[in-house]
Amino acid sequence: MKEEQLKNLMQKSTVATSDDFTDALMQQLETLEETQPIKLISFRKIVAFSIASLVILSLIAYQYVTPFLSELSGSVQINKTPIFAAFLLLCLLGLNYVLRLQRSYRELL
Amino acid sequence: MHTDFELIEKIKQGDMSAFRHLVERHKDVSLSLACSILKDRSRAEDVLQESFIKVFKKIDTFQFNAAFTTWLYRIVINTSYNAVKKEKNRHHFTQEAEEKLATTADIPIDKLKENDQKKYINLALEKLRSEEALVLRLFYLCELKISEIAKSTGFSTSKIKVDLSRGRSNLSFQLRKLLGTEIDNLL
Repeated sequence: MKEEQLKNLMQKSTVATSDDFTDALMQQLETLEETQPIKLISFRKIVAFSIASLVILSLIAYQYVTPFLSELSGSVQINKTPIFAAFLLLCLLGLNYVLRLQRSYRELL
Repeated sequence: MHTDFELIEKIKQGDMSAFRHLVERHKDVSLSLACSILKDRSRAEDVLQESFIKVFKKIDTFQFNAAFTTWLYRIVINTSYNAVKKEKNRHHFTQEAEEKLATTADIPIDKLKENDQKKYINLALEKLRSEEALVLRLFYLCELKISEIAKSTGFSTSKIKVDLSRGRSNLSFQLRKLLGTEIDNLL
């Protein structure tokens, strides 16, 4: 097959788009422009902030709650471990909620 | 008639009608390239819509030191390959098209309309490896040089030359297989 023949063949091979292709595209672009992008805080920032908050809150809790618990333990027997466990559990649930939010956002995209 | 660069300048200034002109000018050739990779016309159209949206979003980053088509084709090709990765069912169109054409296979090619000739050529192209069909279209349809094809596809120049050579002979073989001696009427 000669080069010129091949070129003619390839010119014939052009695939035409459907009639409403451009209109559909322009409509899609208009919709995109109208939709305000959701501004999300980056995942790394959220995790770093959560860990920092967790450490600071744990220190504060240890500093202030421990003497109070010691005083209280004289009259009432309260175990420190379940309180800290509950506190940690709450923090983990919070983190889990953030992760689920992120996953559902990805699914939306 | 505005050049691509003039249209891009207008788009950057917020002229949506300029983008419509740009799409109208390049959509058919771009769709042909997407079809070479995806082997499915309707999926190729979806991918092309996605590609043009990317073009619109990234038009501000376009540098005027290269041809717009090289940049556009690169986006279309990358988006098509990404779609292929997501989708395994790539041979659907070939089988469907073959079934459709089987009914007209006995009719002499000179009696077939231009549209039917196009179908035979595209069917033969569908039978080629996607890289061969893509390189053939970029070289003969888009009239790009080998260096420009390398920029658009990311293939090496030696691979492009091999694909071009194999593509030529395979296309000829597939057309002869499909049409027999009627191929002379097509050429």
